[in-house]
Amino acid sequence: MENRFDIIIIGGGLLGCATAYQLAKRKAGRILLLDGNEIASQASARAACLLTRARTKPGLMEIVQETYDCIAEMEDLLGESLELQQCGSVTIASSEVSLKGLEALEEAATRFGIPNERISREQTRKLLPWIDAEAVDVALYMPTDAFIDSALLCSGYARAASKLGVELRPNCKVKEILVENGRQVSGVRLFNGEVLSASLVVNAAGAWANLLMRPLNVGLPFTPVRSHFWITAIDSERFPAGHPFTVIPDARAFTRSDVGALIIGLRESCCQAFDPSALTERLEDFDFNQAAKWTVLDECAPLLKRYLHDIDDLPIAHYMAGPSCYVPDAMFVIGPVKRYEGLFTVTGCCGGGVAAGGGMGRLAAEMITGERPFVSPELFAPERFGEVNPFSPEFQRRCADARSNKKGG
Amino acid sequence: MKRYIVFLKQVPRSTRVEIDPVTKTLKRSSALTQTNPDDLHALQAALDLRQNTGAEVVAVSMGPASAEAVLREALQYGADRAVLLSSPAFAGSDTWCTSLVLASAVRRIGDYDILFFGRMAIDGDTAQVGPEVAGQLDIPQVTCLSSIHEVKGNWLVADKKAGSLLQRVEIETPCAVMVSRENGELACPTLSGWRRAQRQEVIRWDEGDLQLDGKVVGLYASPTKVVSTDVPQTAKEIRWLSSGSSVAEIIDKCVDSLS
Repeated sequence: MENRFDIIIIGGGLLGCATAYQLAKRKAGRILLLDGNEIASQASARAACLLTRARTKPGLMEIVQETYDCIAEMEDLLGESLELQQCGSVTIASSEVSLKGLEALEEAATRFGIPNERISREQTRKLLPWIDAEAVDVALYMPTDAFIDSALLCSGYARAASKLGVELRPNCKVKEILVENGRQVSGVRLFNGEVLSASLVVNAAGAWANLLMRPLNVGLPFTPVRSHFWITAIDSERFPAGHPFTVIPDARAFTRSDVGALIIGLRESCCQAFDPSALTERLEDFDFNQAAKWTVLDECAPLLKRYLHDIDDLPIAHYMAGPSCYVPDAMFVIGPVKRYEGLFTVTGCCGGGVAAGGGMGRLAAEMITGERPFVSPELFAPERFGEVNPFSPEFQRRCADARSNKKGG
Repeated sequence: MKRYIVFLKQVPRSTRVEIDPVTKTLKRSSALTQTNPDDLHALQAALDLRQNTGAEVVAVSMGPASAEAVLREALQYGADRAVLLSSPAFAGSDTWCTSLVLASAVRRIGDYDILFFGRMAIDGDTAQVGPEVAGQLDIPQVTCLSSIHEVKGNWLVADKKAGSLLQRVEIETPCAVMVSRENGELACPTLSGWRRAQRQEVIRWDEGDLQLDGKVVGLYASPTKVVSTDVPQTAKEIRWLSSGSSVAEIIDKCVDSLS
């Protein structure tokens, strides 16, 4: 009985841990969560950590709201703060195209009851001491937006799940998902040979998820795409802690404060996809292309320069790259894999795992337990693209383009 | 004008590197790389001193073609010139053969005042190359240099670590110094520095340029013979306490397991 579970979740990142928490809340049975490394140690620890509430795509505002609700719930359950930083956000438009995007965001926020207001250049300058406000045509301020340390959030989900009875096993790497009679999932085999049984397996292995699906001839419609950000040297006067994060579509950029420094996220015009089979077991050993630290900054700096005039001479203290799992339509992948009984997936964060994790976990848990889903699951169905080959360069290019063409934060 | 020569080594970024089963040396091509941290302290010492004395700072590295990256980084931080010592004949050199190559490069560069090395490289942990180059060139040296106090004519006044003590030493130039991390960090790099570095030339020299017989350097000429390389076995046990329900509970468990 010791190795027999009702549900096995593969992946101790944001999506796996949030799903574990949401399933445990619903008393979904004996649940085991496995990760090949430490919990919250891989892609989820490399996120920019923004919790942007207003979204124009259907279902996403509900999903992000659920994450905010989860944070409050878990703080109660754990009796400790998860250190949500309610700094607010400022979305900036300096062109006709970005103004249209801003107006759509404004309409969505108002409809959903998210506080928002257009602010003057003077107010923008006051909130963002580093910005060259003359470049700002319209600025939309949303005071309730926040950011959170993604590793702390992820371990919060894990510890809350554990408190509700989920068994966590870090440093247990899954070798394969087991199938009986060619159709029914029966559990997993670990690299140490141990077999763990369950009639339902949730693949939330993030960038590695397709490696586990490959022997089953299933291709999930996403591939890892490099996301990255730069952190300046500390200059507390110019980049005061807790000032609002920004989304600047005209510069393909976002910024947020980081204890007196500025985090700058940039999207190159042609983002870099990675073949999942090239991934190493630990991201510390993976080459995201070290040269990109400067080549991408060199490409993107001219666009940001009108808002941050001295970007060329700004001391850069750190660079962080990680894999975000992008889907061609930039929507998540949540649902059963229909070719097999008992196989489910939660993946394809599209760079939104921090903001959307709690809601994605909730939708997954509701679908698994047979509850009525709080958002339409069809939007996120794994098979919505038909059969895909995530190991083909053409498909990987489509996924990378989803990031290249992204407009929001 | 004074001339300071700084030596920088490309080392694996991860501690999990592969060992070549035949040569027993590190398989450098298999690992992510970085500039040896102590060498950046050496670069910082040279750049700081240049501010006070004026000097040309020449960055030198020995390694495969990929080692050009550490020289580009040195140029980005402000080095004036960069020289890459690269040849199949140099591959597998131990510290003695490496010091032969580096000393030959110093002779080729010409007049110099101070050679700056990092205290040691994180991949080999020998701390031998700098002192050996000083020996090859027959110049005085200071190991474990923690800060440079001043330059008085042909004399360098510096502090060096000696166990828990600091010694103030005076040393006549030309000399070699092995800089430890106490000397301080480089200022953060900038994009404009990177752009400038991309435009600068990295000079490449092989054994011919250094007038070295290729048979006196490299793996087979090296007096050090690595017989085997093993990961030390440990009887230590790792116990995971991360599945507790709160930080306080995990701490309690940790205290219990230690007492």
